[in-house]
Amino acid sequence: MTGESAHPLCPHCGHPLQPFQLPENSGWDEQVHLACFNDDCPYFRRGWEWMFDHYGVKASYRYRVDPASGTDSPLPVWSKDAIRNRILDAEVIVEKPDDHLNSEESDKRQDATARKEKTRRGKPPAQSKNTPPRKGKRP
Amino acid sequence: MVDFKTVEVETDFLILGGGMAACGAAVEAAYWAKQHGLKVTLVDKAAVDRSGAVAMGLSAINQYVGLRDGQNTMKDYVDYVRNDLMGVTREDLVASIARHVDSSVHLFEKWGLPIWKDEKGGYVHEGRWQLMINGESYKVIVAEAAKNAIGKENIYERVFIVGPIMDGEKCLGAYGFSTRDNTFYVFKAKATLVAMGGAVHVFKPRSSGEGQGRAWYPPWNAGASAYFTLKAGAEMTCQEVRFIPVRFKDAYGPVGAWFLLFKSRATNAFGENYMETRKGELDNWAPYGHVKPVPANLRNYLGMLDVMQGKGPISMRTEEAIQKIAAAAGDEKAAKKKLKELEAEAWEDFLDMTISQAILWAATNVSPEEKSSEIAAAEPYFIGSHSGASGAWVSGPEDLAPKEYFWGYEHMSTVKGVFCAGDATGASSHKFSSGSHAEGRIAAKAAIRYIAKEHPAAPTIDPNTVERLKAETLRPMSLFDETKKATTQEDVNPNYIRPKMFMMRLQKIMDEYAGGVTAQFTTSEGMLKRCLELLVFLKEDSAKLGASDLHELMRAWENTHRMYQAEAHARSILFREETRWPGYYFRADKPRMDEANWHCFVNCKLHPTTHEWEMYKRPILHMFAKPQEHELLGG
Repeated sequence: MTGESAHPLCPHCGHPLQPFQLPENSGWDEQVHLACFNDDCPYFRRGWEWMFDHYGVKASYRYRVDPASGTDSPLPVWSKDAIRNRILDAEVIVEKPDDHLNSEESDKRQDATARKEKTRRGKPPAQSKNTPPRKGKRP
Repeated sequence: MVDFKTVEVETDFLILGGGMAACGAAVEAAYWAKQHGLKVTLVDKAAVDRSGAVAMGLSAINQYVGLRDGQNTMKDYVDYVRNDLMGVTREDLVASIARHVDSSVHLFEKWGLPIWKDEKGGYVHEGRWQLMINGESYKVIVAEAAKNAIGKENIYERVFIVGPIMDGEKCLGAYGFSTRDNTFYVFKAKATLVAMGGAVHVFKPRSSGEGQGRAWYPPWNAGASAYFTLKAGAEMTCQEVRFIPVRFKDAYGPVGAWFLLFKSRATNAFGENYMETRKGELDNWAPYGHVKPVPANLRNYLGMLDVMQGKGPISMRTEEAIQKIAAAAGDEKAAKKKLKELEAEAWEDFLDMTISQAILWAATNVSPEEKSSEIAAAEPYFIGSHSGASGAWVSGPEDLAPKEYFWGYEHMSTVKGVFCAGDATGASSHKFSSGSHAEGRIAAKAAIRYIAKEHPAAPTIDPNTVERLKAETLRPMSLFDETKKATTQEDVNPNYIRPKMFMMRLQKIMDEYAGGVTAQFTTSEGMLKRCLELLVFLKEDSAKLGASDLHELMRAWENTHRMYQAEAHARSILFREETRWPGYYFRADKPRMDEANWHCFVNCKLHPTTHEWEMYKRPILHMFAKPQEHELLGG
């Protein structure tokens, strides 16, 4: 793993992301993700109303990045204090995420993985289509 | 003899079961069957709306791979499952399901299941593979789609399937009876899908007295799939791989949200976290002891070591987790407000999935913010869709399976025309609800293709066979009816044994000899041989089951099904001369894992006519290159 003292910034508020410890059984190989713990982050603040309006739950989400893959996904939280007790020191070394976290980088990673899988079997792995079935047609 | 009318149903594709796998099969089969002018029939012993393991609802979908977003790959999921099962898994089957499961989840969403998403439409993950949902009506939504797909006129609810109709090695369909009126059913089919769930209450549960019946997995999963495939002469796999969940004690509320969302820890009576203090033990189970996440059976085992040393009870430190979060709130007023929010969250997690846990807390004055709650290992279950692996040995898909694992049609058992999905399929763990649905779809599509390509003849069944099966099915009711007056107390009669008492005999045998709760999940060659001796007696007893009504008749057959699952299990543990899944079971006479000799599947078959068991090894073949040690360590 490479050492990097500065962590990327949240694309919603510009706040530096902070490393936090994942629970033991979360399923990810690595044990540390990055998240924006800025309580004024507009993504976090909007989330409360979004989740209540759409799902009737008193929860929100923080911007979160998996440093190993560079992919981001919402980290569910039920209060502004949730998960704060698992924040690690800013100097914690994590695998360097993509600086840009843009789709081009993400595509390259997917291509590399798909090439690896193709080499193994000699056939490309089938990918499930994401379009729901239309009437009379199958994906 | 009691008087039942006989109804014969002819169909092309017969789906047995009403849970997630069966509902997936119905939706997929309906489409392909229509193209070929084929009829699809589904039979459920209950009502499809709430059948199966997802009956009460779920608060998360536990298998979503995220292929379209590039979050994970098929290989990532295969690696995860193989590691969690200590190396024993059919990679081709896991991959077959992993590449289709996302589309099942997208269908659920289309049908109306609320899956948590942020404002950008990104799924909210509880863990890497888990999505948060509002899932109280999860099954109802999935069932509605299935029922609409094949039409209510093709669904038989409240019909209990006893077993397969065989003509030599050929399966002609299934037979059973209504649980509501005196009707015996014969379903004749060109292809059959077995999706009748796993098995619970084979072992004595922790619950007792008026609480008896309480289990983590649904008690109505009574081994029907295993019985059907065994009686059809199908090869079975991983019958030794039971699952023991560690959950909140007695009501079996989920611990996942507490570990993952609340970031709780579990400690023993001395406040020690066994995952820390017993870490060294994982070295004894390398390489699997070194993977992340730690395999479920090893996590269990570390806690069990504390319990066996007298350091129990083990408790989920709910009060610590909540207080920690509340303490950061600032002033007292803010802390009180925070506590209220957290309390609501803690209870709601159970109300989505396990109402009984909320009731137990209420009944025992447990306030999670003040008092920790015990967690404990449950009794063993047979649940090939979850973290167990038992089920039928099925073909993989042609494009993924090594040639040794492919015989014509994906997810078809070794009996031609008998397909399996969900808990009925073995060696393909970690499907959960969504994966089972996807597997049902895969198997159903293959089954329709089988019918369309192979043109199996419409089955004809000799009327004498029908009469024989009917008499056999109704024997418990006939026996009770004929002999109940022999004593003055119906429960105590030398001519028959009531199903409940039979079940207790079975559970006592399994608990004491095959590594149940009271035996601390430990057994040995001597104990297993004694278990099998006692099961011989029990098999004789099964011919004397007595049933006073339809409900008891169902219970009589459910316990017969359980008995066959029990025997397959005991024989498989005996055959595998090692301990590979401590935390699920432990062989005291073979306490170590033996990769050199036992990195393999243990398979078995029950000969349909001689009733002899065959046990054998099958090699574990990797779809992807065999992982190296450093890959297992996540490096």
